[in-house]
Amino acid sequence: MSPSSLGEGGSAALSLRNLVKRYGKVTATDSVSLDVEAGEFVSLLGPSGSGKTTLLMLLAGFETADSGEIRLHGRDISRVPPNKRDIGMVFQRYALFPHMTVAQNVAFPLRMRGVAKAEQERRVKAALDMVELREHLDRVPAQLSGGQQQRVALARAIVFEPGILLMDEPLGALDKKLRKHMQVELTELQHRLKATVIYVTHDQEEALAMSSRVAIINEGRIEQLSTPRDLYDRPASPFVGDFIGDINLFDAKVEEMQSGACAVATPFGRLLGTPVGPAALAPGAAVRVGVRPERLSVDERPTGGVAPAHPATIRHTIFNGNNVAVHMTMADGQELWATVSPNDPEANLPRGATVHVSAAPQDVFVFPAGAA
Amino acid sequence: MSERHIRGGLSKTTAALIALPLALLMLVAFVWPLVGFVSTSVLDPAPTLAHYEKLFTSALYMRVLASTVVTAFVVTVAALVLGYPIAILMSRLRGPAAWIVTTCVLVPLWTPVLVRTYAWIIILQRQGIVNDALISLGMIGRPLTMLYTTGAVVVAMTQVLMPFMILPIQSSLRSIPKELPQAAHGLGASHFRVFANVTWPLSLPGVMAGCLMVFIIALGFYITPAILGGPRAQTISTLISQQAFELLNWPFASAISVVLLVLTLGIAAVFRRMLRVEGMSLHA
Repeated sequence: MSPSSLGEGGSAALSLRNLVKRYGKVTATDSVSLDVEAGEFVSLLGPSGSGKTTLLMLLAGFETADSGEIRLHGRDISRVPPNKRDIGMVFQRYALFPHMTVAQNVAFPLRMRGVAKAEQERRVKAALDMVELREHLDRVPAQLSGGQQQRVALARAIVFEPGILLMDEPLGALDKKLRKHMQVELTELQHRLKATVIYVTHDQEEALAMSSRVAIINEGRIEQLSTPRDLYDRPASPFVGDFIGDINLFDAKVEEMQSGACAVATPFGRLLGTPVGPAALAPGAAVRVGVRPERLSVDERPTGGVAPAHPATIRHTIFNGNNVAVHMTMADGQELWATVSPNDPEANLPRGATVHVSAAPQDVFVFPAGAA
Repeated sequence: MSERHIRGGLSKTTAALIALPLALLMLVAFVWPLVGFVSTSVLDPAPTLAHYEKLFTSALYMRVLASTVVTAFVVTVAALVLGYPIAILMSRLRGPAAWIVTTCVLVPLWTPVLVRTYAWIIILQRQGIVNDALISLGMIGRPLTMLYTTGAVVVAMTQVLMPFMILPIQSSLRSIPKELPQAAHGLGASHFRVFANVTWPLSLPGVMAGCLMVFIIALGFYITPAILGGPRAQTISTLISQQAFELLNWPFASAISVVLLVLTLGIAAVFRRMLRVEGMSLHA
């Protein structure tokens, strides 16, 4: 099989412009724009009900957008029926045809396209080789394990060399160990085919592990579209910060603005942080402050650094193997979580001990209030 | 899963006790008469196969037998062709619309066959709705004879037996996960090919069950042919009734009954076999 058509096609393989879909009063897709480069692996990540499935249905053509445009390799497919879209799709529960053998399942898209019998056979074998399932040609899906069914579904989606691959939580039905294994296999296959993949999931670990970029979907909008690293290090909103990894979030007020940094007043004292987003923050403005647990410094004694330190009382500690989670209460009752190395002396402090908490200004995200 | 669970949490003894009244009823009302007419057909007046010989050597009786099978077949095909789209509709509708269509399908089932058959007389008679409409539209000059024909029997039986076709098909259509047609469509199949390649083959168990039920009921159907068929459109069941109650030839009526029974069981066995083959490819 040649990987060509899955990968080629100018720069933007898929391009969405102001896509809108409403169901009655509910806006399931709220003016979504997105450009996916050829060969990219982009995940749509969001909680259930965020609108990621609607977006996928719009892409596949099972739903029609109220307005906006979908371009696949330059061709406007917004009004094209699903069977003419040239999109390979892997469904959540595989959607293999139970009355057809593995070979017939994989040959199905070729048969629908009128590919000659001999050519069908050759390509089916090549696709099944790709997913290492060649010896199961004549079985029916019910005779295969979940992981094998998954591979058949994948082979069926790539066999006709579609312009793009859509995957709807394809690993959701597998157990955790197999899921990890399939994550690796899927990414390797994607690299080999140079395929452009849109991958829908609610599992943030999965999205981070596999994607070149991740679109965080919330309430029908893309909250942030970036590399996994960037999403973690520079979340654009408290929602993203909370959805990708763990974060401490609390309310505060801007005290003063400095160049590229700001001082905020929290109920437990003053903090130095970095404003997020283009909007300028005026002193007195209400803000949400977010700090990753591993970026909080927990010390038995004040270290005397530039960052302000605040006293806290340890409520309990949880040993997680590679780190220790420290649950603390600040002077005003605000609860914070920090993670420290198991070798730190602070990891073994008893309940009720007093510590001093601080964070470097670049690790304290200051979000404008009103952001989700 | 333990045997106890499969049997609904009842012990074998309890289950047997509960089933006993029905078993007794079947014994008295079904098995005993069955043994009765089977023995009558070969023992009356003395051990003989003459009644069967009479049946199989008479051109008239064989023609009635054949036409009954043909009628049952035509009714089955008509019920399938007309019922399948309704089953699809029922399986796709949701909410009040689904409820209305389901009621329309079920109400005839709750209406006595006799009432439905007499309704057809009103529709098909010389001054009936169909003739009146055709005459006032100027399409025919004088009323057509529709009543007391095989056509009338086929039309009415199709209507009467339709729910037995629709319900099993509908249930097997409902059990097809909605991603399957969707996947087929997304993989390049037009709506027609989605139906031909996915929906239809996956609904075959329901189609088989529906056809089996309609065909078997149609084979032995009595009321509708007796009322709408008249003397020219005789069927096995009207023949049995005529032999038993008009000519009082009980041994011959018994022999025809046995032939009908064997025919029915044979067809049921063939269908069961086909269903099993179908079921294996689906669930093995």
